[in-house]
Amino acid sequence: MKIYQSLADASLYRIVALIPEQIVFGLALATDRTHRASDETRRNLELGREFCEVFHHVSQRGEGYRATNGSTATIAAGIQELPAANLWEWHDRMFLVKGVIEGLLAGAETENQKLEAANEILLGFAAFAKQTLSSVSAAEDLQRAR
Amino acid sequence: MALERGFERVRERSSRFAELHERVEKAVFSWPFLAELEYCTRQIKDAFPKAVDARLGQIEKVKDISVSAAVRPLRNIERATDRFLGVLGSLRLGNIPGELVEFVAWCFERIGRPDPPFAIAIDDKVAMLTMIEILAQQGFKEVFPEFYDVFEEQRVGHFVVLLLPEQLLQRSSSLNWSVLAHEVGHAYVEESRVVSERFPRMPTSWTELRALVQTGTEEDKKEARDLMQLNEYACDEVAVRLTGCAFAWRLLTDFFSLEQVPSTSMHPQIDKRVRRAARLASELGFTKQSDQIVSLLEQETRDVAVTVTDDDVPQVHLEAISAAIKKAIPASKHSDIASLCRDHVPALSTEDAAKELRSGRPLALDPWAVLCLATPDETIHASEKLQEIIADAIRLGQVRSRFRKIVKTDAS
Repeated sequence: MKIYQSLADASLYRIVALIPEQIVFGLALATDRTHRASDETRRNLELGREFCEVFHHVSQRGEGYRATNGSTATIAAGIQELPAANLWEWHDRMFLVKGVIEGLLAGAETENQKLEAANEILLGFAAFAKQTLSSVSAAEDLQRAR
Repeated sequence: MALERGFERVRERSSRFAELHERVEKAVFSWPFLAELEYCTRQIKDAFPKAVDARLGQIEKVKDISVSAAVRPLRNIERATDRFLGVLGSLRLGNIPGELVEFVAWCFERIGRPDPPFAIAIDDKVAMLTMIEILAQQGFKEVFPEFYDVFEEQRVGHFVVLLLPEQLLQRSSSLNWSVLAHEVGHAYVEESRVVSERFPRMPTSWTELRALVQTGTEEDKKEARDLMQLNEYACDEVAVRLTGCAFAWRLLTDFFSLEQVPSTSMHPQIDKRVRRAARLASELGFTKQSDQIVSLLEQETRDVAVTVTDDDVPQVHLEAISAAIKKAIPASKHSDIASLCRDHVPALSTEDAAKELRSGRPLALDPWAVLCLATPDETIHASEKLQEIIADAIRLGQVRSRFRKIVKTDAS
């Protein structure tokens, strides 16, 4: 069993698939006004703000992006594992999500329609990231087998 | 309905943690060193159901708003928990040479941890992971914070999993066990913060440090790289203090390769590490052995341009870290071997003891002394037979030390 490798893979999966799905969770909570200010909502939205911020820079600058701390560096390193061309395709949509999250955190009134649209984008991104990761790891497995 | 089943499945994991704990509890009878693992699995078993209730409560709220938004985090908890259970399930609860266990436990005792907080798992790498790091890599911090919090700042979070290749687990690899002293060094360095306290801006997680080297600013890259390399030097120093010249020797003979000569972000150049380890061993009186190690290193590297100087770690940090380690960890000095030998058999010289060891006669010394007596060998790679004899001597030394403890307790 390659525990070390499997933990490294899990770490990458955490960033590109699991964090976006966790943001969806926070956005779903935010659609209900009674939960909008709860700690759980804020925790997930803050995670989302950080993720979208890093995504915005990495998709624009690629490897030229310079992270400012360990957490953003980890997110950036994970996102950089995805093909740069694909990242650019997601840039505008993720920028929209970023705007929604920032609005919510600033206490702005946000229509549920916008939240649902942001959710759709994030779920689409998570699905794309999972698919890309599985094809990359399948190719690596094949390479190793050879 | 699918969500309800998901809730049930996550709750069912509680019984798997309970089963695991039961297995560890049984194993402690034969392997007392697993007592700390027993404590950890007990904490996990008790904390998990409570953390699940709290998390499922949050998911329940989202379920009423959007089932699809609730399903995924639930599945992610399931997946992360299964991977964590997989890591815990892979821990060896038996079938480990007792000598190796005794040796690692002895190393922990020397760094001030009489209850050794470790377990062993098989992997293709030699590495050390703390429980908290394993959880962070699985994403528990994000998807299951209630469970992650149990491990933060707690004894269970600092529990160490030593990853070792199967080969290293054999008695016929006993000379290589000195590399485990380096891994124990990692446990010491993390807990004492002897290196990280000098880099207050840097994260403590290795995943984050590696990422900073990859994507951080130039200043952060350098700091992260310095911190990781200083960590390695610090662990080498701990290993030398624990095992004298044996570690420097094995670093050269079994872990040195020309491909590894250039430094990586985490590890300093291997030739620099060997040189430094040899110098530290020389300071402990292993002058002859150190000279031999350096001379062999020079033979190995004579055709290769090595030891570039631009990746040097800040010497001021290295010296301060070294001083702190010297203060905290007792040294295994060359002169101590002579007194240990005399203690074993009056008038037994170090040279005679080395001869006795090689000829397979029973010799009961401290583990580090046994490793040092066989270092350096005339040949670079020691025979399997010699290594088995060394393992026997380590076992014998432990039996004697336990016997002495019993006699002392009875006398008092």
